[in-house]
Amino acid sequence: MTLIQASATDLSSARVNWFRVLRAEWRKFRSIRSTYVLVAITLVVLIGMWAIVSAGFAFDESEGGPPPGIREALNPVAISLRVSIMLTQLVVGVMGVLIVTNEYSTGMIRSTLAAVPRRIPVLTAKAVLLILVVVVVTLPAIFAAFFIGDAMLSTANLGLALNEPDVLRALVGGSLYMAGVGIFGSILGWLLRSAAGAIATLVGVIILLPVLLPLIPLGWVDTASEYLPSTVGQRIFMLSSVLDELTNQVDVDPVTGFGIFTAYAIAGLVISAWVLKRRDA
Amino acid sequence: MIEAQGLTKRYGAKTAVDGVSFQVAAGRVTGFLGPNGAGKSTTMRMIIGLDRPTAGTVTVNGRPYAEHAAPLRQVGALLEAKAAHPGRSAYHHLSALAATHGIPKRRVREVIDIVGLSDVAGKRAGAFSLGMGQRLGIAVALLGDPSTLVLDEPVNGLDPDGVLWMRKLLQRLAAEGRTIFVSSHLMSEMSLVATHLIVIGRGRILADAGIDAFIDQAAQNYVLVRSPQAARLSEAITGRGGTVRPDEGDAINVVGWTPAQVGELAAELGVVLHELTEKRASLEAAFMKLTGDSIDYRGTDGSAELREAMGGRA
Repeated sequence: MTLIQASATDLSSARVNWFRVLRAEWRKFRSIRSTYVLVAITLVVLIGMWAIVSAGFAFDESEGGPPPGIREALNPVAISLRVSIMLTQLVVGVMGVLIVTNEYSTGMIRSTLAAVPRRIPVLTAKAVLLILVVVVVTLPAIFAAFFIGDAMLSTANLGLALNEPDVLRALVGGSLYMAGVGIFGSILGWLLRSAAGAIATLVGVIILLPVLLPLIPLGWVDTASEYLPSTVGQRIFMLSSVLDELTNQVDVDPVTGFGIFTAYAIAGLVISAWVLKRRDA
Repeated sequence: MIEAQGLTKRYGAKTAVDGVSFQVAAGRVTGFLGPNGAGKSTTMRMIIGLDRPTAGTVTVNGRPYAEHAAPLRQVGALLEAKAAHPGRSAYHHLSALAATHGIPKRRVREVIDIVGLSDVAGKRAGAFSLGMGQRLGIAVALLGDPSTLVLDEPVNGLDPDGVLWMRKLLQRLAAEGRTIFVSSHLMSEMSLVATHLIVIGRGRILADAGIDAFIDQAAQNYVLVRSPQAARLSEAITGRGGTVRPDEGDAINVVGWTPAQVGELAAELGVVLHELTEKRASLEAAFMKLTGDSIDYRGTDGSAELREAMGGRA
C-alpha cells in the first residue's frame, strides 16, 4: 500500500536484529536516573566496605593483633573482599531486578514488546547488558579497593601481592559473581514482575537460605545447602586459606563452583524466557 | 489489512473476546465501537501480540504481527494504558524504541515534530499532561511510518483541544492512505472519523458494516402511521408480507415499506391517515439498540449511562 505522504527519512533498512535490541536496551538503561544512583552506590559500598574492613585489620594489628591460633584462620584480604562483595551483591542484585521490573511498573514493557514482539531478544539483550555493566563497573572498583586495602594492610605487613596464588582469580571472580547475582535479580524480575517481591526473594535465596538451611539437622540437607547458588558461586572469589576451611564438607573447586552457579543462572533465564513468551504483557 | 479469525481470549472463567472474525480493510478508517469492557482493548492487544489468543488467529498484512521482520513498519499502536517510563525524556523514549529497528534519529525528530512535542522532547515523560502523553504515544506509533495504525480510545480523557487535535490528525493520516483501526465507546466520535464500523459487545461482533448500512441494519428505518383505522391497515399490510409494530395510541410502525407504499395501500382501502412519516434511526439509536443487551456493568438506569457515554463528547 502506498502512502501519499510517507516519511521523509528512508526507513527501508529498518528491521529488528539482536544487536539493535541490545543498543535499545543500552539507551533505555542510560536514560534514567536510577541507573546512575545504583552505579554510585555500588562503587561506594564496594570500595568503602573493603577499606573499612582492611583498616580494621591494620588497626587491630597495631594493638597487638589476634591471638595465635586464630590469626592463621584470618586472611585480611580474603575477609575484606568477602565482606565487600556480600554487601555489594545486594546493590547489583537490585540493579538486575529493576532493569526488568521498572518496565512492568511503568508500562514501558508494552512499548518494548510491541517493538520486539518476539520478546526473547529483549530478555537476552538485558542479560548481556547487565553482565557488561556489572563487570565494567565492579572489576576496576575491585582492583581499586584491593590497592586501597593493601595500602592500609601493608602498614601492618598484612598485605598480599597480586601475583600471590589465587589473588587474581578471586578479584576477577568477585566481579563475575556479582554479574551472576545481577542475572538472578533479573530472572526474579521476569518471573515476579514486581520490584518488592523480586528483591525480597533475591535476599532470601542469596543471603538467608545459605544461613537457614544448614540449621535443619539432616545430613543431606546440609550437603545440599553447599550447592545453593550463592554458596557454590562464592567459591570463585575465595582465597585458598578460606577455601580449605569450607571444603571440609564438599569438595568443589572454585571454577567448578562457578560453573554450577552459571548453570543455575542459565536455567533461570530459560525458565524466564519461556514464561515471558507465554504470558500476556 | 488486519484479519481476525475466530479470535478468542479467556481470562479464567471470563471470556473477554469470544470467537470474533473480522477484517480491517486497507486504506480506510474503521471504527471499533463498543461499551467499556466489550473486548476492544483485548482484541487490539492481541493484534500486536501483547496478549496471546486463547484460540483463533489474527494477522497483519498476511502474517502474525510478531513474525514480521520490522513490526513497527507494519503497525503503529497507541494503547490505552500508559506505556512509557516517567523518568525518561520523550526523546530518549522514542530513540530507544527506534533503536530496536535501526530507525535513524532523524525519524525520531520527525515524529516529534509531527505530534508537536518539539519544545518538550527533553522533558521527562512523567511531567507530561494526559494530552502530551497521548501525543507521545502517537509519535511512537508513527516511528516506523506504518501503513496501519491501531489506536485504542485515542481521545479518551483528552480536553476539547486535544480531542480536536486528535480528530484532525486521524483525518490527516487517513487522507495519507493509511489503514486506521480506532476504538471508542463514543458513538459521536466514531461518526466523525470512521467510514466503516465494527461493533463489539460482550466479546462478540454485533455489526460489521459501512456507517450507513450499519444504521439500516441495526435500527431499521420505519414508517410511522397514525390512523383511526390502524387495525384494519395493519391487517392489510401484514397480509401483504409487511411487518407492523404497534406504537402509542392509534399509531403503528411499518418496517421495510416506503411511505409511498403505505399511502397507496391506504388509498386503495379507503383508510384515513392522520400522519405518515418516514423515521430514520440515528447512529446513537442504532448503537443503543445493538449494545443495549451487551453492557456488562450498568447502573439501575442503563440507558442514562449510555446516553452520557455517547452524548458526553458531542
